[in-house]
Amino acid sequence: MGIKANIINKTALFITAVLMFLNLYLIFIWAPNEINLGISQRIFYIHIPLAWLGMISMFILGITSIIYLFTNNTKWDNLAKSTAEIGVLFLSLLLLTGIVWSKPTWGIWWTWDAKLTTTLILWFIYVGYLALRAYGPPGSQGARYGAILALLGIIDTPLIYFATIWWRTHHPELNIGPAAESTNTIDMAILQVLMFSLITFTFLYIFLLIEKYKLTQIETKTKEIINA
Amino acid sequence: MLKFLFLSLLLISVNLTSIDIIFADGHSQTNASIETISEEKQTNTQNDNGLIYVFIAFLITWIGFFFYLYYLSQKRRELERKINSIK
Repeated sequence: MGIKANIINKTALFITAVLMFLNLYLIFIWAPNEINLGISQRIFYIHIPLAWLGMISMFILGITSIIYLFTNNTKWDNLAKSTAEIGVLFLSLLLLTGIVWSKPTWGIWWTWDAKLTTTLILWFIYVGYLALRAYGPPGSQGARYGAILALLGIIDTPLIYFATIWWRTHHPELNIGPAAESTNTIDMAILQVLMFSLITFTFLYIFLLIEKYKLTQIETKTKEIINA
Repeated sequence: MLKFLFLSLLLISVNLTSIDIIFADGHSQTNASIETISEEKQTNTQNDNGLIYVFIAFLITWIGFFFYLYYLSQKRRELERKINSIK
């Protein structure tokens, strides 16, 4: 790796680390306690960014897969593989933090609610994609099968987002975003911390994606050299 | 690094008991005035019980990220070894 790339990498890591510590300060010291949910509401500040990036990741996976199907350029396939792996990480953490949060708020660890179930389906699509890429047909054929599976994920993502509107669920209604109802107002201090948390986790996501993408590129080139 | 993070989370957890409480309509109240109201005292006890869940959720998240970063560094080393052997 070049010196310039190394400096960019270390700078990105440093910014992410600083933002993370600031984020922890805001979440635990600055943010007020929510009266109904109590201290457990602070899980919200990591749960929402994980959900947001888990779904964004699926969109990136779907779009890069479509571009790959049209161009047959391996760099898009490498980006798809990288984003799928990070998407699994974020979505797994989303499900785990959700399970931990649902116990003090709903009194149960898990329920087959529409939002939770569609999220679990997305997780299976991600895992299925990675399994297909690891053990499925090699080369462009495997990439094409993976791209088709990624399109299923794109269909599932809006289902997760609109689940609380389309079905009766345990999960709280949408408070932010384009589909949120105007009556569901969120306290300004809570919103500010949430926004900071979203930015911080997005930085972390970008850092991880760049790292993973670079490794995947090197891996592909190494395989090409060995096979040649 | 992990020890430092653990200690930071522990200190922050201790601090949580002195934080203002925000109500749905936006007004806030300090802990000193809350202690006089028994119903809100009960809410405080419930809040303290939720602390363990917050701790677990953050711990899981950080372990997940550290594990993934470790996995990436191992993969990088493995690739460097492969490239060196090709050279």
